[in-house]
Amino acid sequence: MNDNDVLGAVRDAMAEVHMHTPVQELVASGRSRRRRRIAGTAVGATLATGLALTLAIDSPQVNAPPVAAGNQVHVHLAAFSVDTNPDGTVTVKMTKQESLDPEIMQRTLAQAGVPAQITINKWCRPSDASQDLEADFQKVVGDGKQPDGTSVMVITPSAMPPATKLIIGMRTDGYQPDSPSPLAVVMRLVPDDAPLTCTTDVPPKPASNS
Amino acid sequence: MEHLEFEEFYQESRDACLRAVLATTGDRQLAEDLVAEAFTRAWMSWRKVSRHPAPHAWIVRVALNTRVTWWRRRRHEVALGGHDAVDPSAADGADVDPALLVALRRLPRRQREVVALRVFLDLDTDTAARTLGIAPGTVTAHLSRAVAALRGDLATVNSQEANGERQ
Repeated sequence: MNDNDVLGAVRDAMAEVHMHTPVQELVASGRSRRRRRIAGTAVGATLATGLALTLAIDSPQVNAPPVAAGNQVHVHLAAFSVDTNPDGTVTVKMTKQESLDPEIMQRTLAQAGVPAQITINKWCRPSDASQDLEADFQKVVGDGKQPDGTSVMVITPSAMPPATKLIIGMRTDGYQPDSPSPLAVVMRLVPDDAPLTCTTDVPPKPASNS
Repeated sequence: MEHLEFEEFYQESRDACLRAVLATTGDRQLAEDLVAEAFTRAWMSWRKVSRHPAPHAWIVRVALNTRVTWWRRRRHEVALGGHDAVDPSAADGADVDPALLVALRRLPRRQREVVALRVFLDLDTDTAARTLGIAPGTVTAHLSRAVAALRGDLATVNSQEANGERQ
Protein backbone atom coordinates (compact mmCIF):
# COMPACT_ATOMS: atom_id res chain seq x y z
CA MET A 1 0.00 0.00 0.00
CA ASN A 2 1.41 3.40 -0.89
CA ASP A 3 0.71 6.53 1.20
CA ASN A 4 -2.36 7.50 -0.83
CA ASP A 5 -3.81 3.99 -0.47
CA VAL A 6 -3.41 4.16 3.30
CA LEU A 7 -5.03 7.58 3.59
CA GLY A 8 -7.74 6.52 1.13
CA ALA A 9 -8.49 3.46 3.27
CA VAL A 10 -8.84 5.71 6.33
CA ARG A 11 -11.18 8.02 4.41
CA ASP A 12 -13.28 5.13 3.06
CA ALA A 13 -13.64 3.54 6.48
CA MET A 14 -15.42 6.65 7.74
CA ALA A 15 -17.61 7.16 4.67
CA GLU A 16 -20.77 6.05 6.47
CA VAL A 17 -20.24 8.35 9.46
CA HIS A 18 -22.85 11.12 9.39
CA MET A 19 -23.77 13.89 11.81
CA HIS A 20 -27.35 13.40 12.99
CA THR A 21 -27.88 16.55 15.08
CA PRO A 22 -30.42 18.79 13.29
CA VAL A 23 -29.32 22.36 12.63
CA GLN A 24 -32.45 23.65 14.43
CA GLU A 25 -31.19 22.07 17.65
CA LEU A 26 -27.86 23.94 17.41
CA VAL A 27 -29.53 27.24 16.63
CA ALA A 28 -32.01 26.81 19.50
CA SER A 29 -29.14 26.06 21.89
CA GLY A 30 -27.18 29.07 20.63
CA ARG A 31 -30.20 31.39 21.01
CA SER A 32 -30.86 30.14 24.52
CA ARG A 33 -27.22 30.76 25.54
CA ARG A 34 -27.28 34.20 24.00
CA ARG A 35 -30.37 35.09 26.07
CA ARG A 36 -28.72 33.75 29.25
CA ARG A 37 -25.54 35.69 28.49
CA ILE A 38 -27.44 38.96 28.07
CA ALA A 39 -29.38 38.31 31.30
CA GLY A 40 -26.14 37.34 33.09
CA THR A 41 -24.39 40.51 31.96
CA ALA A 42 -27.20 42.63 33.35
CA VAL A 43 -27.18 40.76 36.68
CA GLY A 44 -23.36 40.90 36.80
CA ALA A 45 -23.36 44.65 36.26
CA THR A 46 -25.92 45.06 39.08
CA LEU A 47 -23.86 42.86 41.43
CA ALA A 48 -20.65 44.71 40.56
CA THR A 49 -22.33 48.03 41.31
CA GLY A 50 -23.64 46.59 44.58
CA LEU A 51 -20.21 45.31 45.58
CA ALA A 52 -18.58 48.64 44.75
CA LEU A 53 -21.16 50.47 46.88
CA THR A 54 -20.66 47.98 49.76
CA LEU A 55 -16.92 48.50 49.62
CA ALA A 56 -17.30 52.26 49.55
CA ILE A 57 -19.69 52.28 52.52
CA ASP A 58 -18.21 49.53 54.72
CA SER A 59 -14.48 49.82 54.17
CA PRO A 60 -12.57 52.42 56.17
CA GLN A 61 -9.62 52.08 53.77
CA VAL A 62 -10.18 52.79 50.10
CA ASN A 63 -7.87 49.98 48.94
CA ALA A 64 -8.91 47.32 51.45
CA PRO A 65 -10.09 43.95 50.09
CA PRO A 66 -13.73 42.99 50.65
CA VAL A 67 -13.25 40.92 53.82
CA ALA A 68 -10.13 40.72 56.00
CA ALA A 69 -9.60 40.10 59.72
CA GLY A 70 -6.16 40.53 61.28
CA ASN A 71 -3.55 38.61 59.30
CA GLN A 72 -6.15 36.11 58.22
CA VAL A 73 -7.83 36.57 54.85
CA HIS A 74 -10.98 34.69 53.90
CA VAL A 75 -12.52 36.27 50.85
CA HIS A 76 -15.15 34.35 48.91
CA LEU A 77 -16.57 35.93 45.78
CA ALA A 78 -18.36 34.44 42.79
CA ALA A 79 -15.26 34.63 40.62
CA PHE A 80 -12.60 33.52 43.12
CA SER A 81 -11.79 32.87 46.76
CA VAL A 82 -8.63 33.49 48.79
CA ASP A 83 -8.00 31.81 52.16
CA THR A 84 -4.94 32.01 54.36
CA ASN A 85 -4.13 28.67 56.01
CA PRO A 86 -2.67 28.00 59.49
CA ASP A 87 0.63 26.79 57.93
CA GLY A 88 1.17 30.15 56.24
CA THR A 89 0.13 29.04 52.78
CA VAL A 90 -2.64 30.72 50.81
CA THR A 91 -5.31 28.78 48.92
CA VAL A 92 -6.71 30.46 45.83
CA LYS A 93 -9.69 29.08 43.94
CA MET A 94 -10.81 30.42 40.60
CA THR A 95 -14.14 29.80 38.90
CA LYS A 96 -13.62 30.44 35.22
CA GLN A 97 -17.29 30.85 34.38
CA GLU A 98 -17.57 34.07 36.36
CA SER A 99 -16.05 37.32 35.30
CA LEU A 100 -13.16 38.30 37.51
CA ASP A 101 -12.08 41.79 38.55
CA PRO A 102 -8.28 41.63 38.48
CA GLU A 103 -7.86 44.63 40.77
CA ILE A 104 -9.98 43.15 43.54
CA MET A 105 -8.15 39.83 43.31
CA GLN A 106 -4.79 41.60 43.26
CA ARG A 107 -5.63 43.58 46.42
CA THR A 108 -6.95 40.46 48.15
CA LEU A 109 -3.79 38.52 47.38
CA ALA A 110 -1.66 41.43 48.60
CA GLN A 111 -3.57 41.39 51.89
CA ALA A 112 -2.79 37.65 52.14
CA GLY A 113 0.91 38.39 51.63
CA VAL A 114 1.11 37.52 47.95
CA PRO A 115 2.27 40.37 45.70
CA ALA A 116 0.74 39.71 42.30
CA GLN A 117 -0.06 41.37 39.01
CA ILE A 118 -3.16 39.96 37.33
CA THR A 119 -4.20 40.44 33.73
CA ILE A 120 -7.22 39.15 31.84
CA ASN A 121 -6.70 37.89 28.28
CA LYS A 122 -3.24 39.41 28.32
CA TRP A 123 -0.08 37.50 29.11
CA CYS A 124 3.25 38.97 30.17
CA ARG A 125 6.74 37.60 30.48
CA PRO A 126 9.97 39.29 31.55
CA SER A 127 11.69 40.91 28.59
CA ASP A 128 14.91 39.39 29.91
CA ALA A 129 14.32 35.61 30.10
CA SER A 130 16.82 35.28 32.96
CA GLN A 131 14.32 37.19 35.14
CA ASP A 132 11.77 34.37 34.80
CA LEU A 133 12.42 32.78 38.21
CA GLU A 134 11.14 29.32 37.32
CA ALA A 135 13.08 27.35 39.95
CA ASP A 136 11.71 29.56 42.73
CA PHE A 137 8.24 29.46 41.17
CA GLN A 138 8.09 25.68 41.64
CA LYS A 139 8.56 26.21 45.40
CA VAL A 140 5.99 29.00 45.56
CA VAL A 141 3.00 27.60 43.66
CA GLY A 142 1.34 24.21 43.77
CA ASP A 143 -1.86 23.69 41.81
CA GLY A 144 -4.65 21.27 41.22
CA LYS A 145 -8.26 20.99 40.21
CA GLN A 146 -11.31 20.07 42.24
CA PRO A 147 -13.87 17.55 40.97
CA ASP A 148 -16.25 20.35 40.01
CA GLY A 149 -13.63 21.78 37.64
CA THR A 150 -12.61 24.67 39.89
CA SER A 151 -8.92 25.58 39.68
CA VAL A 152 -7.08 25.57 43.00
CA MET A 153 -3.64 27.01 43.76
CA VAL A 154 -1.73 26.75 47.00
CA ILE A 155 0.78 29.59 47.27
CA THR A 156 3.60 29.70 49.82
CA PRO A 157 4.40 33.41 50.27
CA SER A 158 7.42 32.65 52.49
CA ALA A 159 9.08 30.87 49.53
CA MET A 160 8.95 34.03 47.40
CA PRO A 161 12.36 35.72 47.23
CA PRO A 162 12.35 39.34 48.46
CA ALA A 163 11.18 41.96 45.95
CA THR A 164 9.45 39.50 43.65
CA LYS A 165 5.85 39.16 42.48
CA LEU A 166 3.67 36.66 40.69
CA ILE A 167 2.37 37.65 37.28
CA ILE A 168 -0.83 35.82 36.43
CA GLY A 169 -2.49 35.92 33.01
CA MET A 170 -6.01 34.49 32.80
CA ARG A 171 -8.13 33.50 29.82
CA THR A 172 -11.88 34.03 30.01
CA ASP A 173 -14.30 31.46 28.61
CA GLY A 174 -14.71 31.91 24.90
CA TYR A 175 -11.58 34.04 24.41
CA GLN A 176 -9.84 32.98 21.18
CA PRO A 177 -11.75 29.66 21.12
CA ASP A 178 -9.94 28.58 17.96
CA SER A 179 -6.50 29.06 19.46
CA PRO A 180 -4.54 25.81 19.32
CA SER A 181 -3.48 26.45 22.92
CA PRO A 182 -5.66 24.94 25.64
CA LEU A 183 -4.02 27.07 28.36
CA ALA A 184 -6.39 28.92 30.73
CA VAL A 185 -4.01 30.44 33.29
CA VAL A 186 -0.29 31.20 32.93
CA MET A 187 1.79 32.23 35.95
CA ARG A 188 5.37 33.35 36.41
CA LEU A 189 7.51 34.63 39.26
CA VAL A 190 9.54 37.73 38.41
CA PRO A 191 11.45 40.52 40.19
CA ASP A 192 9.24 43.51 41.09
CA ASP A 193 10.98 45.83 38.68
CA ALA A 194 11.42 43.42 35.77
CA PRO A 195 10.45 45.01 32.43
CA LEU A 196 7.64 42.92 30.91
CA THR A 197 6.64 42.10 27.35
CA CYS A 198 2.92 41.37 26.96
CA THR A 199 0.67 39.85 24.32
CA THR A 200 -3.07 39.36 23.89
CA ASP A 201 -2.56 36.06 22.04
CA VAL A 202 -3.00 32.96 24.20
CA PRO A 203 0.51 31.60 24.78
CA PRO A 204 1.23 28.23 23.16
CA LYS A 205 1.24 25.15 25.34
CA PRO A 206 4.82 24.01 26.06
CA ALA A 207 5.91 21.37 23.54
CA SER A 208 5.30 17.73 24.46
CA ASN A 209 6.21 14.45 22.79
CA SER A 210 2.69 13.40 21.91
CA MET B 1 -29.43 35.69 5.48
CA GLU B 2 -26.79 34.91 8.08
CA HIS B 3 -28.88 32.00 9.31
CA LEU B 4 -29.10 30.61 5.77
CA GLU B 5 -25.35 30.93 5.35
CA PHE B 6 -24.74 29.12 8.61
CA GLU B 7 -27.21 26.36 7.72
CA GLU B 8 -25.52 25.89 4.36
CA PHE B 9 -22.11 25.73 6.01
CA TYR B 10 -23.41 23.19 8.52
CA GLN B 11 -24.93 20.94 5.85
CA GLU B 12 -21.75 21.07 3.76
CA SER B 13 -19.14 20.52 6.44
CA ARG B 14 -20.76 18.69 9.36
CA ASP B 15 -19.87 15.15 8.25
CA ALA B 16 -16.25 16.02 7.48
CA CYS B 17 -15.87 17.75 10.83
CA LEU B 18 -17.46 14.80 12.63
CA ARG B 19 -15.13 12.34 10.91
CA ALA B 20 -12.09 14.47 11.76
CA VAL B 21 -13.06 14.70 15.42
CA LEU B 22 -13.99 11.01 15.55
CA ALA B 23 -10.58 10.11 14.09
CA THR B 24 -8.97 12.06 16.94
CA THR B 25 -11.20 11.04 19.86
CA GLY B 26 -12.10 7.48 18.80
CA ASP B 27 -15.50 7.89 20.49
CA ARG B 28 -18.54 8.22 18.18
CA GLN B 29 -21.00 9.79 20.63
CA LEU B 30 -18.40 12.09 22.20
CA ALA B 31 -17.35 13.25 18.72
CA GLU B 32 -20.95 14.10 17.78
CA ASP B 33 -21.42 16.03 21.06
CA LEU B 34 -18.16 17.96 20.60
CA VAL B 35 -18.91 18.87 16.99
CA ALA B 36 -22.46 19.96 17.89
CA GLU B 37 -21.00 22.14 20.66
CA ALA B 38 -18.47 23.67 18.24
CA PHE B 39 -21.15 24.42 15.63
CA THR B 40 -23.31 26.02 18.32
CA ARG B 41 -20.41 28.31 19.25
CA ALA B 42 -19.88 29.02 15.55
CA TRP B 43 -23.52 30.06 15.21
CA MET B 44 -23.12 32.40 18.19
CA SER B 45 -20.02 34.02 16.60
CA TRP B 46 -21.02 33.50 12.99
CA ARG B 47 -19.94 36.96 11.77
CA LYS B 48 -16.40 36.21 12.90
CA VAL B 49 -16.30 32.52 12.02
CA SER B 50 -17.72 33.10 8.53
CA ARG B 51 -14.70 35.31 7.77
CA HIS B 52 -12.23 32.68 9.01
CA PRO B 53 -10.02 31.39 6.16
CA ALA B 54 -10.96 27.78 7.01
CA PRO B 55 -14.16 27.74 9.08
CA HIS B 56 -14.37 23.94 9.12
CA ALA B 57 -10.87 23.89 10.67
CA TRP B 58 -12.17 26.39 13.26
CA ILE B 59 -14.94 23.92 14.12
CA VAL B 60 -12.54 21.02 14.56
CA ARG B 61 -10.10 23.13 16.58
CA VAL B 62 -12.86 24.31 18.94
CA ALA B 63 -14.25 20.76 19.26
CA LEU B 64 -10.82 19.43 20.20
CA ASN B 65 -10.18 22.26 22.67
CA THR B 66 -13.53 21.49 24.27
CA ARG B 67 -12.45 17.87 24.41
CA VAL B 68 -9.43 18.82 26.52
CA THR B 69 -11.68 20.36 29.18
CA TRP B 70 -14.24 17.55 29.13
CA TRP B 71 -11.55 14.90 29.22
CA ARG B 72 -9.86 16.46 32.21
CA ARG B 73 -13.15 16.62 34.10
CA ARG B 74 -14.05 13.07 33.18
CA ARG B 75 -10.60 11.76 34.08
CA HIS B 76 -10.87 13.34 37.51
CA GLU B 77 -14.33 11.95 38.13
CA VAL B 78 -13.32 8.52 36.85
CA ALA B 79 -10.26 8.48 39.10
CA LEU B 80 -12.43 9.24 42.13
CA GLY B 81 -14.70 6.35 41.19
CA GLY B 82 -11.74 3.97 41.06
CA HIS B 83 -11.87 3.30 37.33
CA ASP B 84 -8.89 4.32 35.24
CA ALA B 85 -9.82 3.19 31.76
CA VAL B 86 -12.60 4.02 29.36
CA ASP B 87 -14.39 0.93 28.11
CA PRO B 88 -13.16 0.61 24.51
CA SER B 89 -16.25 -1.30 23.40
CA ALA B 90 -18.41 1.68 24.37
CA ALA B 91 -16.38 3.98 22.16
CA ASP B 92 -17.04 2.33 18.81
CA GLY B 93 -19.81 3.48 16.55
CA ALA B 94 -21.86 1.12 14.44
CA ASP B 95 -21.19 3.19 11.31
CA VAL B 96 -17.41 3.03 11.40
CA ASP B 97 -14.92 0.22 10.88
CA PRO B 98 -13.80 -0.77 14.42
CA ALA B 99 -10.40 -1.96 13.13
CA LEU B 100 -9.67 1.53 11.88
CA LEU B 101 -10.62 3.12 15.21
CA VAL B 102 -8.31 0.68 16.99
CA ALA B 103 -5.48 1.56 14.58
CA LEU B 104 -6.09 5.30 15.02
CA ARG B 105 -6.19 4.96 18.81
CA ARG B 106 -2.72 3.45 18.73
CA LEU B 107 -1.33 6.67 17.20
CA PRO B 108 -0.12 9.50 19.46
CA ARG B 109 -2.68 12.31 19.75
CA ARG B 110 -0.81 14.76 17.53
CA GLN B 111 -0.50 12.21 14.73
CA ARG B 112 -4.25 11.53 14.93
CA GLU B 113 -4.95 15.26 14.70
CA VAL B 114 -2.73 15.63 11.63
CA VAL B 115 -4.42 12.67 9.90
CA ALA B 116 -7.83 14.12 10.77
CA LEU B 117 -7.07 17.53 9.29
CA ARG B 118 -5.27 16.30 6.19
CA VAL B 119 -7.60 13.42 5.31
CA PHE B 120 -11.07 14.56 6.37
CA LEU B 121 -10.79 18.34 6.02
CA ASP B 122 -8.38 18.12 3.11
CA LEU B 123 -6.27 20.94 4.58
CA ASP B 124 -2.88 21.66 3.05
CA THR B 125 0.22 21.39 5.22
CA ASP B 126 0.43 25.11 6.05
CA THR B 127 -3.24 25.42 7.08
CA ALA B 128 -3.03 22.24 9.15
CA ALA B 129 0.10 23.63 10.83
CA ARG B 130 -1.62 26.94 11.64
CA THR B 131 -4.68 25.12 12.99
CA LEU B 132 -2.58 22.97 15.31
CA GLY B 133 -0.09 25.71 16.20
CA ILE B 134 2.93 23.71 15.05
CA ALA B 135 5.50 24.04 12.26
CA PRO B 136 4.67 22.79 8.73
CA GLY B 137 7.67 20.46 8.89
CA THR B 138 6.25 18.91 12.06
CA VAL B 139 2.94 18.27 10.29
CA THR B 140 4.79 16.46 7.50
CA ALA B 141 6.79 14.40 9.99
CA HIS B 142 3.69 13.44 12.01
CA LEU B 143 1.78 12.48 8.85
CA SER B 144 4.65 10.35 7.62
CA ARG B 145 4.92 8.48 10.93
CA ALA B 146 1.15 8.05 11.14
CA VAL B 147 0.93 6.64 7.61
CA ALA B 148 3.75 4.18 8.34
CA ALA B 149 2.02 2.97 11.51
CA LEU B 150 -1.41 2.76 9.86
CA ARG B 151 0.02 0.87 6.88
CA GLY B 152 1.31 -1.82 9.25
CA ASP B 153 -1.98 -2.07 11.15
CA LEU B 154 -4.20 -2.05 8.08
CA ALA B 155 -2.02 -4.64 6.31
CA THR B 156 -2.37 -6.92 9.36
CA VAL B 157 -6.16 -6.52 9.32
CA ASN B 158 -6.32 -7.24 5.59
CA SER B 159 -4.14 -10.30 5.97
CA GLN B 160 -6.29 -11.63 8.86
CA GLU B 161 -9.43 -11.08 6.81
CA ALA B 162 -7.91 -12.92 3.83
CA ASN B 163 -6.93 -15.87 6.05
CA GLY B 164 -10.43 -15.94 7.53
CA GLU B 165 -11.98 -16.13 4.07
CA ARG B 166 -9.67 -19.02 3.05
CA GLN B 167 -10.53 -21.12 6.16
